[in-house]
Order: sequence, then structure tokens, then C-alpha cells
Amino acid sequence: MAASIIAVAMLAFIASSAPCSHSRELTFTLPHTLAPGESAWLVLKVGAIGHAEIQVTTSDCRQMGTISPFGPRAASRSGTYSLPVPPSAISNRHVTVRVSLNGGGETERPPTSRELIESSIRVRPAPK
Amino acid sequence: MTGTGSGTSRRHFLKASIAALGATALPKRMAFGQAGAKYIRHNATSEAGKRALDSYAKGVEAMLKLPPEHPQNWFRNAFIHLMDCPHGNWWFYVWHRGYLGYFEQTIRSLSGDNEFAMPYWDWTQLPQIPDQMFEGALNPQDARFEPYTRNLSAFTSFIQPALKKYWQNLKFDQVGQLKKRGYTQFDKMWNDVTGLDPKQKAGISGNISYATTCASRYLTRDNPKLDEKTTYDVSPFIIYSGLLPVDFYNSDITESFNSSKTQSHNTPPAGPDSFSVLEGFPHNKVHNYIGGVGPLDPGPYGNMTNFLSPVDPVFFLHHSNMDRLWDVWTRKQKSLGLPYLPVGQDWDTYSREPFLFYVNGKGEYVGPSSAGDYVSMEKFDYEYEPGFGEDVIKPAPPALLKKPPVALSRGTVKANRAQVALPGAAVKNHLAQEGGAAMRAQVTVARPGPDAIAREFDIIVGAPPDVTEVGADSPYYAGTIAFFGKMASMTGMESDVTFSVPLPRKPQAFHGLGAAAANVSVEIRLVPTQGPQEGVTPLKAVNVRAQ
Repeated sequence: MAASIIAVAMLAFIASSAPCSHSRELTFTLPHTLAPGESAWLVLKVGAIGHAEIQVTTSDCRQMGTISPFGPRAASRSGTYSLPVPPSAISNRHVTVRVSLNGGGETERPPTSRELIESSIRVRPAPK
Repeated sequence: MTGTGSGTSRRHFLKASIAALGATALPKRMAFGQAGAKYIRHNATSEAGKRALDSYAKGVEAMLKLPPEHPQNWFRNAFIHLMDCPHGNWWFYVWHRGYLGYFEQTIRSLSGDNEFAMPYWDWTQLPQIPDQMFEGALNPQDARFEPYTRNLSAFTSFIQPALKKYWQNLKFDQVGQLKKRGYTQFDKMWNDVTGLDPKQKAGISGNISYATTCASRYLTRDNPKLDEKTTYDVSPFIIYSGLLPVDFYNSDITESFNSSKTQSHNTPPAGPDSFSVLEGFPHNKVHNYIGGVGPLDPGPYGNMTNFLSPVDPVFFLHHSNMDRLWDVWTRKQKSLGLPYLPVGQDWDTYSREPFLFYVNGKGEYVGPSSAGDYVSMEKFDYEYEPGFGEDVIKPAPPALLKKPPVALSRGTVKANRAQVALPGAAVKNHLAQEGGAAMRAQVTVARPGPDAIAREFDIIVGAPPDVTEVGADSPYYAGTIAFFGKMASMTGMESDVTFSVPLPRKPQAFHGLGAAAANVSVEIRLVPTQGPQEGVTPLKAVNVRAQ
């Protein structure tokens, strides 16, 4: 299986504002406009966050997925998660998402660089 | 903007996503698995599934009553998971298949139901715990659990002596597996029961695997629903996406059906864990939410949040559904002629991985077995009643060849609206039929120009004039067509494009249908998915074929 087309670096970390307060906005640029059948995926490397969760939403706060480590082992290790980007969240090759950390005794807030270690976007080829 | 047949914006958001993945265009599989297995795992909400849950309750009660020295004691069974379960690696599915298969044998044996097979909880179709799971022995908060789980002291005095005795008699290879897991001595394993962190010399409430009876499950009969986040993680979009990879394992996690490749199922990967979509999202989130992550922060949580999760009987319904999705993915791969297991050296590594802690339906330790023993469902001779996701499996072509000839109705187009006269009998047949749509429109549109903004269009069928926007749950919604790329320099890109669009199977879309009418006039429109846009792609032609 051919490797995915490479990710493009994140453009910006921008301070959050309403309506998704307590979150960080991340903006990515796809390497090219998606061809038919291709899909975009976020790849997030998460640090040891215990039983906290990282919530990912679109820029207007629609759910994209919640990273929720299961069990004490997973909670004490870093992990990489990938989640699909709905096409409606893509605008002119740009994808803007918001990430926040909450749960596990944490008040909702933007994750630190130790909690969300890396983030990137990839283009997945069309299914065979 | 005026009226809408839609529900929430989230649904609106989902529908375009699903359409883009191509899943809506695939017909639904109509029969059970192909093998003709002896046991059928039913949807927990079906009548057969409910009967199976009755047997399940009897089996759980019998296991609860067994002494702690018995390998089939309810809590002893849960400790198999705590001591050996893989998560975040590519043995996740196969290990749980073995665990569930032997457990199913135990319930079959102890319930007296010789046909018992573990039902599955299809959370995509039902994002709440099935009601029966709040009754009797299927509810870990029931009085039947009280003698053992009323407090940590009672739990410890009940199970720990028997576990220590078991531990002392483990085989050499079993001890080796436990060492890989970090359990070099009994107390280290027990720390995961109590949440004790030796480095901090303190308990971490969120890591306590044991849960008191009253706090063993966060969700209750009065509050059975998954929350919005969890519901999203089990939504069609996520599940279809998780079924999309064509590689059993790929180091690029976006291409991999399974999570990380590791040295053993008990060791973490050299780098960070990589979670497949299905393990990382629906599996993890359902576990954690049922245990109360979020509402009960910072813990202690219910059983489902940590590795004694099999103390909650809902665990096995949850994992039955995960196993079902693996089966769906496997059959999808077969239908595409693609590998559905590791190949070459990868197969050797994968299949030889030892699984040493299972207990079979006779209450015997299974002894040495390996992952390769459990890749096929034939090992336990079961198959699944179809649930969500079956439609990713492509149909057998011969079945299509048997379809009767189709009739064509040509529409007239004016100002992005098409009027089509459809035979009333064909519409009635379409509305009555199950499975794939009997009526499909051929929608021809001009490809958007290089500078066009609107590139996704919803197809609206039979809606009143004031409906200018639809959600996925609208009876008028027939799908979303999407254009990608500004490929103006590529030859052939200036032509019109025709899409095959299944018409909705909703009477509201054919409101002109009457008992006496020979034909039904239906309007088909195209609207930009993201709302009104200038320079909208013109609708060129619409024809409808009916079987």
C-alpha cells in the first residue's frame, strides 16, 4: 500500500475565542486539493494525559472526535491517534480545528505542548 | 434562508462526510455470514438477542456464585483481561476474539442454553446501553454483586487469596508474559486493582480498577444514553472511516486497520502507541464514558474505565460489536480480493504470539495457544446477524445480473430544477423494497469552473418550494455530490458529469403519489451544501431508472 501523501505543517497556533472557549485553534493546509475519493486525516501525538481527554472540534465547535486513553497504561504513555476530517471542514485546502483538554480532574483548557506533542494533516489516497 | 427538512447542524455535517466516503452508494448486505455457522451472535435489541441476554444473565449469576478458586468465577474471568489484555497494538482484535469466544462457551455451559451466542451492542444504531443490561445480574450495581464488591476490603478478602495461589502455580512462559507487562510480582499487579502508585506512594483515584457496587457503572436505566461526544465517536462517519483502510497493518496509522505493531501483545511499542480509528475512538470512548470519565472526574470510575472492565457485563456486548466490525472489515477485504491478514514474515510474527491465560467453557485452562488460532471465527463456529457497516461490503455481481430490466423516465430541466414523471407503481415498489434503492436518478451537472466556490451539492427530491436546505435526516435528502480540484489545465475536465443517485425511500418525497395516479410528478433540485453561492453549477439533465 502506498504511503499517504505527506502532511503539511501546521500553520498557526492561535489563541482561542468564543464560542469554543478554553480551546486552541490549529490551522493546517492540505498539500493539494483533494481528488475524488481522497480524504484528509488529522494525526495527533498525545502525551501522557492520565484520564483526561482531548476533544477535537471544527472551528465552529462541531465534534470531530475525542481522544480518551483507555486504562492506566494508555493513560501514562503517549499515543498517536488519527481521525478523519469531514469534507465540510475543509475550505480552500485549509482545515481549522480546535483542541481542548478536559476530564480527569482538569478544568477545560487548551492542551500544553507536552499534552499535545505533534499535530499534522495527511491526505489519504482514494480507496481501491 | 428559509425552511429546512433538516435536524441539527451536526447531522448536516455528517451527511456530506458519509457521502464523500462513498458508503451511501453501496447496497446493504442482506444475509448472515456465508459460512452457515452453528451459533449466531444477534443484535442485543432483536428478539433473539433479548433471549440470549436472558441466558447471559443466568450465566453471569452462575459465575458469580462459583468460588474464587474456580477459573470460571466471574471476577477470576475479569482478571484474565487485567493480566493479559492487549490494547493499542495489532493483537487487540485477535486476543479479544479468543477471550470472548471462550467466555461465550462458559456462558453456554453455565446457563444451560446450548445455543447461546454473545449478543452485540451496535452503538452506532443505538447510542445507549440496551435496557436489559440494567436488569439483575447484567447490572454490576445489582445486589448479586454486593457480597463481593461492596468495598475494597470485601473484594480483596474474597479474591486475593485465590489469585495469589493461582499466581504461584503459573507456568514459566506465563510468568514471562507477566514480566513483559511489568507484573514481576503479584503486588505490582494488585497495584492496578487499587490504583496505588509505588513511586508516589499514593493511590491515583483514576487508576483504580476495582469499583464499589454502587459506583460500578456510571450510566443508569434513567440515564442510559451516551453523551454527544461519545455518540459522535460511534457515528456512521467514524465507523465507515475505520473500515476504510485496506491494510491489516500499516506503519502509517491512517492506512492501518490495526493499531501499533509491537514486540509482543504485552509490551508497548518502541515509539508512541498508534491507535486505529476503531480502537482509538469507539472502543476507548465507550469504555471510558460508561465508567464515568468526564462526569466522575477525577475518579474513581466505574469498572469499564480500567482493566477490570469485564466485571461489567456490558463489556462483552461492547467487544462483540468490535469483533463484528473486524468481521465486516475482513469480508470487505475478501470482496475486494485484498489481504485480510498479515502476510509473509508479518504473518509469522503475528500468528505465533502466545496467548496463555484463557479458560475454556469446561473451566479448564486452555494452555499454550497463539494468535493464529483465533484469526478465524470458525474456531468458535459463530457468525453475526448483520449490523451497522455491512454496506461497505460490495455485493456479488451475479446477484445484480438477476435484477429485472429497468425503465427510464426522462426529466425536463429548467433553472436548476428538474421535473420527472415517475410511474406510480414503480414508486410504490421503491418505497416498499428493502436493501438498495429501486429508483436511482442519473443527475447530470456541469463541472464547476476553476474559480467556482461551491463544490458540494445536496440533491433534494420532492421537497416543498420553501425547503432550500436539507439535513441527512430530511426525507427529501438524496445525497451530496462533491467536486474536487481545480484542474482546469487537464484535458477532459470541462465536460459534464453524471452521478447515480439513489432516491430517498421516504413517502414525503413522493407526496403526489395517490392510489389512482398513474404517474407521480417529482421535482429534483440541486443546492450548494454550504448555502447559497453565486455561479452555482447548472443542472443539465435528470433521468430516473426504476427496477
